[in-house]
Amino acid sequence: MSQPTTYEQLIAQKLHELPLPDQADAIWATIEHQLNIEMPNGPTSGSGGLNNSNWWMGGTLFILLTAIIIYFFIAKENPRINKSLKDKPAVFKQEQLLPNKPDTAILILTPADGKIPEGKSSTETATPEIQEDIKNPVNEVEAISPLQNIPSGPELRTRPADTVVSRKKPRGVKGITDADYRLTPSSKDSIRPKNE
Amino acid sequence: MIKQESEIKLILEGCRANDRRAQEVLYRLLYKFAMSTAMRYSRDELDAGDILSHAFVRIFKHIHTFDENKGTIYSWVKRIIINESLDHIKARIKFADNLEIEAVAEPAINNAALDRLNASEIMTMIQKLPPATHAVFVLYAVEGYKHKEISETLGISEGTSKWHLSEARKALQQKIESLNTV
Repeated sequence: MSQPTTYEQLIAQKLHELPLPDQADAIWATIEHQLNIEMPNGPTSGSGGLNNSNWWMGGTLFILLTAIIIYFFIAKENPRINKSLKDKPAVFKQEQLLPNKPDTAILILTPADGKIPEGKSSTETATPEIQEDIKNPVNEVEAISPLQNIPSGPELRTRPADTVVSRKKPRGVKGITDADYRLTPSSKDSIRPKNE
Repeated sequence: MIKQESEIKLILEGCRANDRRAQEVLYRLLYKFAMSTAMRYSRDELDAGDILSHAFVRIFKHIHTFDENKGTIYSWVKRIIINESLDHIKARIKFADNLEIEAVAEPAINNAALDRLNASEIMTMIQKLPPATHAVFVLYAVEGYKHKEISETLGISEGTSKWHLSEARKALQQKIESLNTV
């Protein structure tokens, strides 16, 4: 009784060869859960956990991504922003690239002596150079090469810049005008001077 | 081996700092060893898993008390797992301390018959023993404890420990004989 027998040694030896269940992950999940309850103040909160600095980085990244998504959403919902960005440079280039000459409209209205002879239109009184400009204004503009680089999207061709007039929504009941609400005295006695 | 010891030292430092990753590394490093120990005292795999989870929580809570100069991490962990296993058994049954044994003849077990059984079959036979008898048999025959140590660990007398061992031997002899006759 005081010493293990040979068969007991054999049993001990065999038990070391016992196949083990593959429960490592499940048991660790239980251990981790219990540790988070009993010892929560660790430098990390789990195998894939985040420490304080990572929380800051994650938060900053989240805010940045949210801001980008909101910006694109607003830009998509409100195409006026994109349109104005596309239209403005094109108009600006066109005005800049025109030849540095006085405006033809002004010259037509104000001839050299300030008088328009009878029987002649205002254009006929302009100088020959100006008359040439008036005859072929489009050709000259088209001849400027940088204009060819302007994007030729459908928006640029069809949509005029800021020409949309907002219509005011009618208020009140149909058939009743503002005049109907105006208070007018039934008799003119109230506005009659006292001394009459 | 030297490299492994240095790695274990680093892992233990992380465990002392309550670093979950270090705790997980230590757990996975010791899993087979720990599960093998827990299985010997448990009724089934689920029971062994329960013992293991409780034991490792206890290990990480008291890791700062482990002194590397007094022993290896394996012996310290093994001790905790055995204590946890015995606590599990004690929670289920009460160890009777009024059982004494007179000098009886040792049951003869045929080693050849035992050799024909695989580890799982032997483990199943041990798990079918009464819990207290099961615990005393494993402590004595597998872990190499003396009856005095068993009596102190389980809070029973040495005579009771001997009685449980004798009961375990008789039961195992019957089971092995019955298995070989089938």
